Amino acid sequence: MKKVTKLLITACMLLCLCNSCNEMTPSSYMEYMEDEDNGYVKTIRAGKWEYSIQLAPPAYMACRQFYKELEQGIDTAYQKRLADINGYMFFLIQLKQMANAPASINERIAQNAMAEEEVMYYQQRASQDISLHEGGTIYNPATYVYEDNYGLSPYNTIVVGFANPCTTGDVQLVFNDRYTQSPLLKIGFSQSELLSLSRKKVKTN
Amino acid sequence: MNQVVLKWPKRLFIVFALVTFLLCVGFCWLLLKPTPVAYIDISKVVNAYQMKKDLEQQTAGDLNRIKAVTDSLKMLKKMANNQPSPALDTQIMYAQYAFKQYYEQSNRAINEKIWERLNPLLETYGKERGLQLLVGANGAGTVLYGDKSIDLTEDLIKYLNNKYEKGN
Repeated sequence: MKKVTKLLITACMLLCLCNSCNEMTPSSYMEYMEDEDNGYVKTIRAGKWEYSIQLAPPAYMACRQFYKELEQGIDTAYQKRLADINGYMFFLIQLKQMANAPASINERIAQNAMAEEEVMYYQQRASQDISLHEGGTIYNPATYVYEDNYGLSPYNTIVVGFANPCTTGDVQLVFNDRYTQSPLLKIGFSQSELLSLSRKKVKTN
Repeated sequence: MNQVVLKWPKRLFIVFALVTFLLCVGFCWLLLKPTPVAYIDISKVVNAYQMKKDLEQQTAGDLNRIKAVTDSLKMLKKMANNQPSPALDTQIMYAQYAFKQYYEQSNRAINEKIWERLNPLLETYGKERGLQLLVGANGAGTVLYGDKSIDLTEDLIKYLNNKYEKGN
């Protein structure tokens, strides 16, 4: 009996230890998600464009929005937001131009004219060119936002979300960027990656 | 119990001998290490690249539609017992021209898109495999002879297709 009790206590301790490994503070959770080495951020280079695509589960999105409150020990808004977006799968697509800034005035004028076209495309039509594939099922975006940084930062960001995608298998995000004419930009996440991510928890009160 | 007690000079000698031996082994390894040079069969790599297959499949649909129009026009001419009809002939000519133009343009575009994606990947591949030089054999005499052990074609194909499908 004593042996069994000892074994149970050891098992419980190990379980607690494992759980604490998977529970992270808001800032360390965000750092973990944004670290390319952990496999949730992947980069594709196509010509002079670089696409950095990050998988963003609801916990990450809510954490990004309310991490200051969470650090102060207030988690009401975080929990509410998490409940709102639960079941969704988000992706953050950062578009960055690799080439140097245009040198001549003519080039700058041409680029300014194209900027309007660029914003029009990414705000209105790009969502139709993004899809999520899981097995034979294709999901279309349920939410889509294009964050134009007006040239203040070297990249613009697309936030795209898919409602209730089945995540029992590998998932693949496909983006056919018609503005930069970069077709078939694919990013895949394996089932094991998704499973290990679902075990990660944000430490709240 | 007889214990062998080594005196300090003897110990120093053993350490010195060991260090010299290790240095010699390291030097020999550096000399005998194969040069990080490899070659690949470019045409095989490009043809096996999944992105090329996917893009060609997309283009094939459009080409088939244009071809269907040409075939229908030809059928109309046939039904008219091949009687001279300048309007129909012009239409057939236009459709054939459109097919040829689209085929050439799409081939050019596919090639361009593939190399836009391949170039940075080849650079990363070379760095990851620790290569100093990666030669592209194209069957036109760039590589006259290459040992099979430094033929990385299959490995590169796997690497590229994995990168294309998963991004890692």
